[in-house]
Amino acid sequence: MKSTLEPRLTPEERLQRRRLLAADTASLLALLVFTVALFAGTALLFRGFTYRRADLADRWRQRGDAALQAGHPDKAVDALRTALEYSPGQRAVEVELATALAASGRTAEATAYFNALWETEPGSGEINLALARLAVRQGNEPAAREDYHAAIYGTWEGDGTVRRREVRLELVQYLLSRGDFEPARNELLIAAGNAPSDQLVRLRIASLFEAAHDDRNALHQYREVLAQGTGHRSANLAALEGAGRTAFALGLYQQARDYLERAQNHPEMEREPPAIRAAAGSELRDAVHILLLYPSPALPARVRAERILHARSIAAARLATCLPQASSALASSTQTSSTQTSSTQTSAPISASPDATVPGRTVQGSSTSESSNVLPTSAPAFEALLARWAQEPAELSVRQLERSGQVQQAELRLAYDTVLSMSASVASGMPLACGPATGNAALLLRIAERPDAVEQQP
Amino acid sequence: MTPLAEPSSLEQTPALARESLLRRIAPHREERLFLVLSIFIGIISGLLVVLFRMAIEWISILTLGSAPHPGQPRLLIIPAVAGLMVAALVRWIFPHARGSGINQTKAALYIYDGYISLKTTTGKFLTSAIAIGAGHSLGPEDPSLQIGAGVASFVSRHLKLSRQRLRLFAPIGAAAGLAAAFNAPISAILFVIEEVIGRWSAGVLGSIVLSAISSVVVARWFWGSEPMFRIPQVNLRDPRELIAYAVLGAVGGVASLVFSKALGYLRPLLRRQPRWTEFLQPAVAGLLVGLIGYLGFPQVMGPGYGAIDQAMHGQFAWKVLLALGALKILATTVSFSSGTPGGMFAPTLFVGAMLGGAVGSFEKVLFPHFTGAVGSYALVGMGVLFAGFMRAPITSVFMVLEVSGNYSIILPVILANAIAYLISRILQPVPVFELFTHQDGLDLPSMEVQREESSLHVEDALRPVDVPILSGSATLATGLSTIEEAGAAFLLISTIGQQWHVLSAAGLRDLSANRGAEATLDQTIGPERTPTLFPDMALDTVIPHLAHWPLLPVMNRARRGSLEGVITLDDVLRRYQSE
Repeated sequence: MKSTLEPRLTPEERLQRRRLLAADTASLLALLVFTVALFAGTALLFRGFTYRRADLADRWRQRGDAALQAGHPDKAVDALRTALEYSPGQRAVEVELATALAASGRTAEATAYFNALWETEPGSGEINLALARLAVRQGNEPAAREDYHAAIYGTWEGDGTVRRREVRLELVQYLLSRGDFEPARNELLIAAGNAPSDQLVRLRIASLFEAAHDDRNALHQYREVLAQGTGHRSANLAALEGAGRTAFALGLYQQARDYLERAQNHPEMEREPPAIRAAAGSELRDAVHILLLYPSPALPARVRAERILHARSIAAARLATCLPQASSALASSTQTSSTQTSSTQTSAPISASPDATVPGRTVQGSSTSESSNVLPTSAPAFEALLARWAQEPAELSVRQLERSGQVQQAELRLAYDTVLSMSASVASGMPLACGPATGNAALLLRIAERPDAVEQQP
Repeated sequence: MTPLAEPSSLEQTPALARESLLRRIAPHREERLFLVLSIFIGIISGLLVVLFRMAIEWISILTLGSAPHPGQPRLLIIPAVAGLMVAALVRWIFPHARGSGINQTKAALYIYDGYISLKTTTGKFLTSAIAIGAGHSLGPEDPSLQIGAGVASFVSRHLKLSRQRLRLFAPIGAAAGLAAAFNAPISAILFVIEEVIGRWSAGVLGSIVLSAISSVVVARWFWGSEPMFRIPQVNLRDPRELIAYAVLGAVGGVASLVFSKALGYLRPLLRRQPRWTEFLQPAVAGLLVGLIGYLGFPQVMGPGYGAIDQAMHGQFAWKVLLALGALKILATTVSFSSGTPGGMFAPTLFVGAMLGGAVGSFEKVLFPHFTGAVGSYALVGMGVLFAGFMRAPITSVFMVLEVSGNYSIILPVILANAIAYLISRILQPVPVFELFTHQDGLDLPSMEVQREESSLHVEDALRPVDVPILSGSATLATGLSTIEEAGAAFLLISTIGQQWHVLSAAGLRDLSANRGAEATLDQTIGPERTPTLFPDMALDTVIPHLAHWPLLPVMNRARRGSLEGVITLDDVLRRYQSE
């Protein structure tokens, strides 16, 4: 409509319009060709550029790794930072860099870096572990615990189960170093429940249980290791030693003797440090002695009666040492029983002296007479104990004991109660004339603590 | 004949006659070409910016090595030598390549009809790449903006477009260049509107958007779609954290002020030095920047994107961040004031990120439970410096949002940016780029003034209805008697359809003499009616109508027939004169 209102174009103008359109088309085509050529040239250059960047990133990462492994974290920090500049966002390199920062003692920077990484991936096990270690280094216990747990329950690349267990065991070690045994034991129970049947893993868990004062679970783990056969010889020896040690601590002396004997006969034992060998040998000897003292129900009646009488005499001697003023009251019975025992006893190679002296003090002499004035013979526990001793028959023979199981039990109970009572009194700081039990008295005390466990089988 | 040349008959026609001829033979040609060329300009600008960034990095690797670190003698030598080279190139070959590129683009738009020579564009590319690549503390964004504008100017010139169109192409290319350099089209568009054009213009907005999008598509083809910086997870954990961001805003405002004052002092001081020192100034600046790198802070050399990234990912302790921010202000002031070509965007973002990171880290130490990630502070810090130093408040907000892709941070950004902007504005009334234009002897329009210019409205010049009003059905005799009784110069006539007509006393008398006193007003005034005006309309829209009408009625928008007042040319002029 508009065109009808406008004057028509002259032939010259129409020609000019056609030429203008042709020129514009040619110009746009030329522009298109130029653009395509520029694009192709840019793409070619960019390819070389990106290749070079990737190459530089790789090279600097390798240098960083090498520096980290060679123990030069400062150099590693620079190298890894450069690697990240050429190839930003590489998670593994970022974590390595943060680790290098931590290793080079730049704790604040490392913490800031790990915190920033954590912000983007709060569930990362690796980052939480690093933060936990930094918190340990900074002495921030609540943060350390929290971060360790976040690491345990976080995500891990590769074998997550193994990494989680490792973190948990690291947490246990941290807790043990802080003296927090209860939470350490709880963590260990979880770790043991999830642990594979791998000797070394079980052995590590067992040793940590032992360090956490949980001998029962430690023994269980050592047994698990031993049950897996002899795959790893040194592990096997360590398990035998550990099992012997923990069984001994639990009062399972027969098991302790068996494990320790096997350990002594183990071909690797000679390579063990002398201190360990000596400790194992001492425990074995004690276990053997305890088993020789122990009046096992499985023994022939006469032998059992003899051992009971021997235990009675050890207990009487211990009582006499600790409460000398009561010794006169007991003289007749103990003297008799002692005589009887010594006359009948033929096969008890007791290494320790039954009337052992207390280190640092003498049973007789001035110190005893000084303390005797305050000896608590009137204490209710001692009164009852002394009363029981006072009711003892004047003469007690092996034959008498052999005949009556009831008498056997009563005598044995009296012996146990005596050593336990003396031990408890010493431990509580009561002013007695004796110190902690030694020799046969100490061995009897061990039996008395858990008489049923001595010969208990696994 | 070049492929872009036009037919000889048109070329030989004088410019005005040629434009008139083009309008006649191809009236829609320019509109169509305008949109197509915007896309081409976007693509070519994007490609050139990709090449520009590659050139900077190649030069950096070749001269400073792949991992510059403190203690390397070349950190001292290379920037100084590059400074000498750049000074020689600027002095003898590319005299217009000095500076950042923003003011040059504005000058092209407002003074030179959008003209930026190919030589200047090439010079900007080369000299900036050498300077930035060799470690001068400058950024590639502002040169990219000028390179884009140069491309636009070159392409549009060769298509022989009208002067009006040629002028519009400069901001189109500028937006394309900046968008590609930033990988953020919205920020680039807003920056060009806020800082180059100064106002929203529907005529050019579509083309700016087209070119910016085209260039970003090209840039992303090469660099990938990731934002320029790897953005950490940003969030606002606790409303109390806003206090911390307000502190950041205040710190950023003061830092912007220090930065502006330093540049405002050193730049003219160096320009006043003897002419022969122009050769040495970039070299000395390079030496100083190199010394900072040599002594332990190579991060301040070049644009510093790597360090920005590291700051956003919490890789520096707060003391290091603070030191880097302060040293970057020093290095950039020296580099820029020496006349070395290069931009201020990257250094501004660098300083902002460092200050933000420092404030964030420090506050994290004081209030570990309610502060967010350090990266959030670094990101907001970038916007804060942009608002305070560049004085582009809208762009600063959108830049952070666009770069982070996270709108949950909008509250801290707005709060901190507003505080920084206000502090900077109160303490430094003239924005830094405007200061540079004054120092260069130019008088370009102030975008800040333009943005805030208060426009007058009709209501500002309105006066009560003090002329008689008659219905169109009244006779001319009635009209005459009414106007004489009132002693008025004009008569307002209400006609059918709530429309109005105005007659002067003389006109009424003429009509009465010609048509007879008993004729009605409707019969005699003809079909013309006054334009419908409302009090909220811009005052300048009234002026053209006052050439035809001596007095104009102003209506009420709610009650169409009701008059709010009248306005005359005298009223309008008096109002403008009283401004």
